[in-house]
Amino acid sequence: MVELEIILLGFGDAFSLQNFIFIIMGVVIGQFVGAIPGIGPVMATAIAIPFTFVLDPLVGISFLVGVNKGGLVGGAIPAILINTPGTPDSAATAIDGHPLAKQGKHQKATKMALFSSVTGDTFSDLVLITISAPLAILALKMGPVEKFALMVFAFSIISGLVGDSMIKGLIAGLLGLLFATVGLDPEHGTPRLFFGYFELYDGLPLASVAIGMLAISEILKRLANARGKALPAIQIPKNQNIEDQKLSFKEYWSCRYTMIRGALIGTCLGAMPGIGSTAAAFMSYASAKQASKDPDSFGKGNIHGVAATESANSAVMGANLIPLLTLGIPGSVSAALLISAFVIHGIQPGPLLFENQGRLIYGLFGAMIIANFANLWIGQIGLRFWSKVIKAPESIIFSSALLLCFVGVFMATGGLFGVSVMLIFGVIGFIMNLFGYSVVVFIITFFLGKKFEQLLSQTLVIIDGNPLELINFPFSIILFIFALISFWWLGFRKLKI
Amino acid sequence: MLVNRLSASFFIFLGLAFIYFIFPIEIEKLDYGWVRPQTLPNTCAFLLIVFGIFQFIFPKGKVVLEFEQILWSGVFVSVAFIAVFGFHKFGFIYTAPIFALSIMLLIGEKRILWLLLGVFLIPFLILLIVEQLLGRLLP
Repeated sequence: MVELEIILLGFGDAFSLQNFIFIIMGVVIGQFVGAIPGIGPVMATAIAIPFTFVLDPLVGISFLVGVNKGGLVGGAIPAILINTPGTPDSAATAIDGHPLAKQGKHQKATKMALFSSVTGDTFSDLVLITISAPLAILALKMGPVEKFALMVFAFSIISGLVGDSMIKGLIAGLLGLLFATVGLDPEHGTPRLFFGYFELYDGLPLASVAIGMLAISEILKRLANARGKALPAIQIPKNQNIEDQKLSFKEYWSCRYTMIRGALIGTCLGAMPGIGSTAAAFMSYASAKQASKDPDSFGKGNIHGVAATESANSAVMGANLIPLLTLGIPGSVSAALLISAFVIHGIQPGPLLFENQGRLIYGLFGAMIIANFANLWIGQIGLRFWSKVIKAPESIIFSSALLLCFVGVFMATGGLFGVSVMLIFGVIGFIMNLFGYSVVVFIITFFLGKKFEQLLSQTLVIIDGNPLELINFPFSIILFIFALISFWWLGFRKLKI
Repeated sequence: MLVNRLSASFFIFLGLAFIYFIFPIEIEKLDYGWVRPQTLPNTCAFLLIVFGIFQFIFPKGKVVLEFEQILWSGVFVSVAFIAVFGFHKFGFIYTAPIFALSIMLLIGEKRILWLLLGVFLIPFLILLIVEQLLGRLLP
């Protein structure tokens, strides 16, 4: 168990001036980019990762957490104002948020989105802080066989849940694993698939692959779609009723059960690898509608609809870190990006984190709580300003984003070779998106590929290549059975193949 | 359906190409140990073929192909590759403004103020942040 002194030191680090400033910066950038349709916190985090290279690990990771959390709040603004969600997580927010904006209550809707987002986020952070350390102790008791089985189970869930076809998810996952084998073989140290490029001896650079697949592919798509088009903007009436713009405490309090339900749904789904905040938001919206005395008002501008979706999608963020910090398995693309930030700073995520980097982890927890308050504070001031951001032309947004990707990857990989790799993976990601193959599954299996191969090798040595020996590892058998059930349930049962 | 079958065929051929043409040249074969250098790549390629066949038989998933979008993405990615060459030959200071200008013009931006902002101010700010604030050198 982590000593109390370490916990206090960690929280103390979080409150250092430098950390505080970078969290605020992260939240401001996150809310800003979240408000721009098409950019969103994932792309912003991907671009920002290499820039944190020069920072202290806690400061760098806190900054990225700020970007992520801010992005979730910012994403609601275009969803409410122009019915164009800044992030997929906010798609459900538009269902009731946009009708409210059309009624001239856009400020009330954005304020509700902000408050419910911070409520859901804080709830899931508290759950994360409370249960992740005991879970990590349990995870430490697992050997290579159990870890290998757990990884197979995680792959089965992720490939089944992300996207609309399990076979496509599996193909994307296999491609990720295949690309992870580039470089020196972890068992024998022989070079593989380096095609004469000695830069590939260490494998494909994670920053290049992640930024290429997530940011470049999306920018390419947006650039191609943005040609010659002006962004739509909502016509906000000038003479608005002041009461319609305010969100009273009574209105906020009336949504308390909706928000708690949303936070619970978001936390439970976020703790499972592969289930994103979009699913949580829609599920929470559906349950709020079901529980409502006036379900017909949903979709026509019910403030509970905004509270339900925003509390759920924000609650996923904290909960996503549970499998990341306890098992080293990223549950979502945001978590995969955070894991790459850990790796860039020389920190190996997993259950040993609490033992070896306890101070850093509790510093991160402190930073998450600070980021929530910063979100609330900056959101109060910035909501009106961010709503102007959505009018910025895509030409300047995407040309700047491309330049930042170039510079970021150049800094992270130390040369233009990494930038070329990024562009190649941008094209691969674009094509995969086009044909419906999930880049999220690809990134997660790519990241876990080397570890997967090591665990496979250790498992085979331990069981001496005899599958019957697995009988000595009952927990791994349970996990393999779960993996089979998940393949059947998520894929073959409904022929979702 | 047809597009899904096309992508499935691609993965079947990709798997075959890996097993018969690429891996024999690019992976040194060893004959000891449980997990050899060729084990995981071969397994992945084999499963790619298997799932590719599955996808071919039961094509699933919605795919919308817009040829204009693909064409323009090709144009933008070509400009990006040329920019990488430009960074290598002429450096960030000269290439970044030209690259930003090309992208903005290709999108259709004609407003002088936005063009000036994107071509001069943004690259200058990036240069300032990276070289002065972070102390790292750009190409």
